[in-house]
Amino acid sequence: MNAHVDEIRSAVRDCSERGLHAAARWAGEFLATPAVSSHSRLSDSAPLTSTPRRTPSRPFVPPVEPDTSFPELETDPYETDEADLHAVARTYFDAKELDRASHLLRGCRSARCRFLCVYAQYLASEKRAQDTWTAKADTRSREEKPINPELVVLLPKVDGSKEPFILFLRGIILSGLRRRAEAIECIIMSLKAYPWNWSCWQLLSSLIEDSDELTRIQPLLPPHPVTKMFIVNVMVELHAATDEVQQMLEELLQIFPASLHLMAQKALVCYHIRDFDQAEGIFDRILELDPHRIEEIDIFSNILYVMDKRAKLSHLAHKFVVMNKNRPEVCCLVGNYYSLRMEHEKAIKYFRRAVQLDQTYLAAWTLMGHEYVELKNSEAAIEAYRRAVDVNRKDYRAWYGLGQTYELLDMPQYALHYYQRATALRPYDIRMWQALGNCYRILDKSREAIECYKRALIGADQRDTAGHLQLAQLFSDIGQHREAAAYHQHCVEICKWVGKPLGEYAKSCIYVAKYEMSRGAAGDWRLAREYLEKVANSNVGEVTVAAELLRELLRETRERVQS
Amino acid sequence: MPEEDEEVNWSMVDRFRLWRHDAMMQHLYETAVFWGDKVLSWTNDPNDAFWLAQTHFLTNQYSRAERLLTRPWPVNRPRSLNIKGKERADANGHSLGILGGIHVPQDATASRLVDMSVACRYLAAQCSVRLGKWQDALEMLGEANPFRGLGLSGPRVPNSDGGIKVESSMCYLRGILMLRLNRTDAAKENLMEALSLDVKNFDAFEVLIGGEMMGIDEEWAFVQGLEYKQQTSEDAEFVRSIYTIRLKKYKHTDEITLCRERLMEEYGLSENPDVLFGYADQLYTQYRWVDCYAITSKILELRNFHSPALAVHLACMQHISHLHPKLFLLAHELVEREPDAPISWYAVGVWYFITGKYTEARKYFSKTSLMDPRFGPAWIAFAHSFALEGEHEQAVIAYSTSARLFQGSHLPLLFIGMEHIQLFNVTLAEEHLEAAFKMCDSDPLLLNELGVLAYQKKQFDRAVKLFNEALQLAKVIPGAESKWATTYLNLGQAYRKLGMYEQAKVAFKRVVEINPYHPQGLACLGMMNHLMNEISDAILRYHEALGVDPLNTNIIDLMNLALAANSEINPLTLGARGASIDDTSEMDMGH
Repeated sequence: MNAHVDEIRSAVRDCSERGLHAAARWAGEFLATPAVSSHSRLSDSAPLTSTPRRTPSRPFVPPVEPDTSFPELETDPYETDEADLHAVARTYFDAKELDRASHLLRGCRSARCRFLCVYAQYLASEKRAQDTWTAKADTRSREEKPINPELVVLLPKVDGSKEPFILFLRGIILSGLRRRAEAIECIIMSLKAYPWNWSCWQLLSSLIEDSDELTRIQPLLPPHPVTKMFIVNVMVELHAATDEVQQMLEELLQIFPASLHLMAQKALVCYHIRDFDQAEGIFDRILELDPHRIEEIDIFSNILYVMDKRAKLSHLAHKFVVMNKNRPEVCCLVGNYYSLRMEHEKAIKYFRRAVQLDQTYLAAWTLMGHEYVELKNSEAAIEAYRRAVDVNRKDYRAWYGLGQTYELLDMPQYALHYYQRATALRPYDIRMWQALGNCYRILDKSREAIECYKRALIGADQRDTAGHLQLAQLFSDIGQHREAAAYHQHCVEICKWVGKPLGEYAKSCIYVAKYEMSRGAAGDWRLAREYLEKVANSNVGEVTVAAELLRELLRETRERVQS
Repeated sequence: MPEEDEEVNWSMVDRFRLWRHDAMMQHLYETAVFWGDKVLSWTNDPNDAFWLAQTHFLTNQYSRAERLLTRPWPVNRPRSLNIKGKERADANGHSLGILGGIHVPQDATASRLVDMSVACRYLAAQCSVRLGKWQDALEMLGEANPFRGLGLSGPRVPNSDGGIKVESSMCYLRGILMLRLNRTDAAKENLMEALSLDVKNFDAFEVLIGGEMMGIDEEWAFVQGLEYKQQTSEDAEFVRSIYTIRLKKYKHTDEITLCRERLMEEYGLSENPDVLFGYADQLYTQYRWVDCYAITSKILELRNFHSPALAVHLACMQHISHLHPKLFLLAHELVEREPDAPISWYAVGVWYFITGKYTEARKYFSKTSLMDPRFGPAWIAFAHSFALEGEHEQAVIAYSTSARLFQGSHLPLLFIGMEHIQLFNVTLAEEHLEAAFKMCDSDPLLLNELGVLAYQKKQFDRAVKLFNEALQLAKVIPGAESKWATTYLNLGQAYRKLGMYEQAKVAFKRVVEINPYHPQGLACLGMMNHLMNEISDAILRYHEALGVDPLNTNIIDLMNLALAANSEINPLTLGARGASIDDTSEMDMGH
């Protein structure tokens, strides 16, 4: 931790000078935690004694070797000349007078001012695009999402610079232009030169499509603790929290023991491995340390939602909505609160508010989609899910949601495509395979469906017979009765083993019996008879069928014995 | 007689002549007429008559001037005895020149002033033209230049006094007259003669070049071939340069740029509106509207009225959507300040045009054309408004009119061709586009249209060639490649038809690079993925395309096809992709 204090300090300064509030806040949090502040506050406050300060007067911090791996921003000769302009422009920028800020800085030459100028233009153009799009609401020809036509114009303004922040801005614009590969390249260059810009990492994370891509990019990233945080972050987003990730997290927590960000990540990992109690505990601790921390509060609300802790969620929602209801995370929290109370309309209102505040807010888009599904508004659900996958292609839930919705709309081909995407992200998830198999079945593609259900069986609960029954049905559909009978028999055995009532597997018994009987002499008549007797002597619906079959079986056995 | 002692010796007539002249200089025309009339009564000198007529002309009393010049003149009356002094020098020495001075032939049978003096004849013709008496004017000027082939005349003969040759002015006037009489060829011939007789005659240049009377190669050859050296030996280079920068910019851009740089650096004209206009025009031809707008704004800042620059300025504003409110304001200002200038009303028309009120726009374009029938942009815009309304026939008629009026420009023909392409009149389209191509073979837009035509005729090889040529030409222009997305799209389509999928894909990728939200570009790229059996990418592209253009039925159909193909794929190939993820967590759909 201590080795990085200076870096973090300058990161807070550099980011906030450029209007990158989120990144500055993120970096600042490392300094603001109690463990750090006890050293650094002392070092920064001027001593009350009149003795002149000796230069590195950091009493509790052991001397740190100059960290050569972290290149400082080069001093910009124009920066001092333009300091006043920059200060004024920042006040405009902070007051959301974006065009005014960029106009003031239009002729500036220092990298800092150029960044702020173009960044303000970018934000203003995004807002305009959003407004135009909102104005077009309810027309059928409206584009799926706002299109910012000014990006093409902005791009040349950030050409050819090696300054990390300008590279970052170029990455933003390129990603807006859907030039993913170039954007990633810019971002990596920026991060190599300046790893403490968390916004840049987040941008990179949103551009990564799957874990393969992460593996490819990994060697290109600078060896730095932030890189590790990034990898943890992406892996968690990919719902791929492995032991390795957990170990990395632990290592990081050793360097930054009091980092709330890392703690929240850890809670997220716990949440993904369904260790809800621990996740809740961590969040409780975070809120104890910083009761007004808004970041990741939405995740906490998800945890409480899953745990069905209504009272706590309600308390949290009420507390935060008073504090700041203009933060997307808080809106999401409130949305979850309403969702748990089954007030879907209100939940949607808050999720929509969240995405209005931050168009790239993946979780809110997905959750909004879920709410619309609840309300049976498929079209709106599709729109929300689409936006979610547009923001981040890694979220299998949105893909799956799209698949489900299209299935509801009776558009199996569409559903199939989305399930395929979801399955590609979650190849070990049986529900994906089941959904996929179901789609193939609807499309009359029994062979493909069989493949999927077979795949689904691999990870399925040993006691569950649904998959077997599906497979048996599919095999009998395509006339492969031997396989069908085998699955039915498997089913019967499982049910017997688990001790399920006969009603649940009577049909399977009959199928097996019928099959064995149809094989004539080669059939296992004894088994057939056993099954049929079992059914015929019970009170399930299939009694008459079984009795009839049994009579036939007995007659045929007799005939065979006679002959 | 030396000036010093003249002052003492001036006669009454001389004094009155001086009064007349000073009065004219100070725009006291009544005074000039009054005293001039007295002088004429005393002297009956043709020179005095000329000056009196000139004064009438300047006060717009054309018929009075004309009568004076054409009334029978008593030839043998004694001439004034005291023609000397200041006005004498003015009258004969400077402005009239070698052909202008009135030399009354002693044996003259001539009975009118116009028969005695070229200057008088020229003035009389001017009067007739102003009065709209075309036939009279033509009679006065003759069908062709009467001095052609005489020893003292011709392009290689410099004017002895350094001024502008009356011969050239007469040719110019004859040219204008021919234009009025709709004899365009004769007009062009005369105007060219006017300019070649005297390169200083900018009026002739403006009508020829500014009025789009000559094709690109023709005007280049003509303007470069003028006898600058012979006529103005010291200023030859300057005049040539300043003319060169006004020529069409589809070709010879390097030479034109060189000329402009010389004018800016050597001749110190970097702030001159006309020089800047040359630059603006070049930028406009290269589709660099923003840069062009910056230049034209500067021109208008320097001179708040500059008609050719204004036309370009308005065109740029029309292209840059965030300037539309400014355009509105500018139109208002112009109409208020310059209600007599056709371009003011043209600006109003453009405003209505961009707001989609085509009927209103046409009203103002018509007004502009009435005020100045040779104002090209108004005609073209008038035709455009029909074209945009889908009234192709009407548009073709309007374009044809402008084609007739502006024979040097290939644009009307190109636009006619475009209309015919839309109407699927392949033969007519071809005819017009070929004609346009003959006039200008270096406009990428024209090549693009020819490519489209070839595509329609299923000559895909040729289409590919033409589209590539168009892009090659467009590439010469820096920073404006983005305007050529459509051509890339066309190129891709042609490649697709030829089955050259890789090339097609490259072209479509270019489209999407230029505009990431180009629905056709995205759809075509998807189609390529589809054809190359990259189904999942294809679906992705179709989705992106439908995201921009949700109602496009073609894309929806393509999408359905792709999805159908998708369901044929073996599902187990999917697992291979993310298989490295060790999945320990269970799915959690809800929260």
